[in-house]
Amino acid sequence: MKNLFTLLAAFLMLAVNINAQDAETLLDKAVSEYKSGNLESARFELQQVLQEINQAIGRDILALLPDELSGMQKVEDQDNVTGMNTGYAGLFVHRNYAAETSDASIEIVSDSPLMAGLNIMLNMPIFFATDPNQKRIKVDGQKALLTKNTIEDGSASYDVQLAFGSTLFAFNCSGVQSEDEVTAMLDKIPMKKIMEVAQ
Amino acid sequence: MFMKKLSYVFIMTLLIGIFPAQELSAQGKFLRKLKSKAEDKAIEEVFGKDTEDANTGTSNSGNSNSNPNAPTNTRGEGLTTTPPDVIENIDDAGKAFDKKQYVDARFAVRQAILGIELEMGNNVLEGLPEEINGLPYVKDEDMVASTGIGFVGLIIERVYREDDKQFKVTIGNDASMLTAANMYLASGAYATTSDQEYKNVKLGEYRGVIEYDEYSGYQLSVPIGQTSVLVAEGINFENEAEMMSAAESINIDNIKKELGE
Repeated sequence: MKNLFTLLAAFLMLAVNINAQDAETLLDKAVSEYKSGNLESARFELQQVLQEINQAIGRDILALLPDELSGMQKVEDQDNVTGMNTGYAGLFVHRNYAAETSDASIEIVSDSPLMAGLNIMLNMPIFFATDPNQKRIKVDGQKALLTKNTIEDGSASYDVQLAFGSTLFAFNCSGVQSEDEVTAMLDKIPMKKIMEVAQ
Repeated sequence: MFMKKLSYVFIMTLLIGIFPAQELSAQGKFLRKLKSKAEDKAIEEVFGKDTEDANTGTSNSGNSNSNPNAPTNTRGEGLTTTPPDVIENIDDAGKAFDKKQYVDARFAVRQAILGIELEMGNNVLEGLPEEINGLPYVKDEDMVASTGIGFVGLIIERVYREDDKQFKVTIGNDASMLTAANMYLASGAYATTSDQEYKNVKLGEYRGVIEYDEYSGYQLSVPIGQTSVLVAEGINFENEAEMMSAAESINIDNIKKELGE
């Protein structure tokens, strides 16, 4: 077991080094392309660097997230910071938590033009007056939108969305007993620190 | 699950925001006409028929609803428009990355991308003609907009105008949404229909789509390469032939070269 941890730690250190070297190489390439007047190629290299940086930020955010939420353990091999691969250089963080009868996930996506719309919604209390399954809550002092989804068998799942700047934090859980359990899980998420790292 | 939802919303945004097909339907036109007439009537009822004249008289009053003693801004040169220094920002990015100050590194990289895109945009503008079919370009309305992130990309705009006639060229580059739009336009899905309000055309060797709307005039969209699109809009052009002749003045190969497509 100890060997396994050593191996994992060595692998992670190696991965970080590779990324740092990649970023340096890409920046050098960008300078060289720019000086040669190949503007599009220079931009392409810089967009690659942006992805590297966002992945580094993503790894920092994963380190801030708790290892356990209401009895659910993180599923480390499903941690993801690489995103949807649609060509945009945004931040993407994904983590799953699981227990026998419950599961949860956290996703953080940034640089999305959809975020502005959600920000407006969060600042319009009247918007929620019509939907009894939605309410505004606070996560580490930050305004968020909680939605309860009742499933056919009578159980419920919960979605929480929190927007800051052009970033969306989304939390989803199912198999939990009550809204109080959801807020207890959210209390373990250091939202302000995540915002500092992400913005 | 969230990604699925996000993708769905994204596609819907794309369909609503990018493709002008919704504006092509007769229903859309009828609704716009109706809306316009209803608005005119409502304004007349509330303010009387002299509204337009009254508005003209007060249009320069910047603080009509605030304290009458507050001064109105009459001086100031505005913001400086010097593009970010690319090399300096790349250097800053490297230093910040080494110190693991990722947010600062990201800012510097974005600034460098912004600097490059502004340069690319200005190069494209330099390659556009100064006059098209007798219409001179409006220098003050030349525009290059870049957010420094790949999601939105680069927008370049030039307007040619004289009296009530206008020809506007907009070039979009490197927005991930444009890839989908280009695939759609190039696939022939936007095919000619019997109502003849839009149809496939060729501009030189490039395939595109031309549309006509009685309010906004002609619009020609031509995908260029993988992630760029040229949109030409003509107001008060006599016919499709005149619009196409104006569009042919644009050197698409040069735009393609400058944008690295």
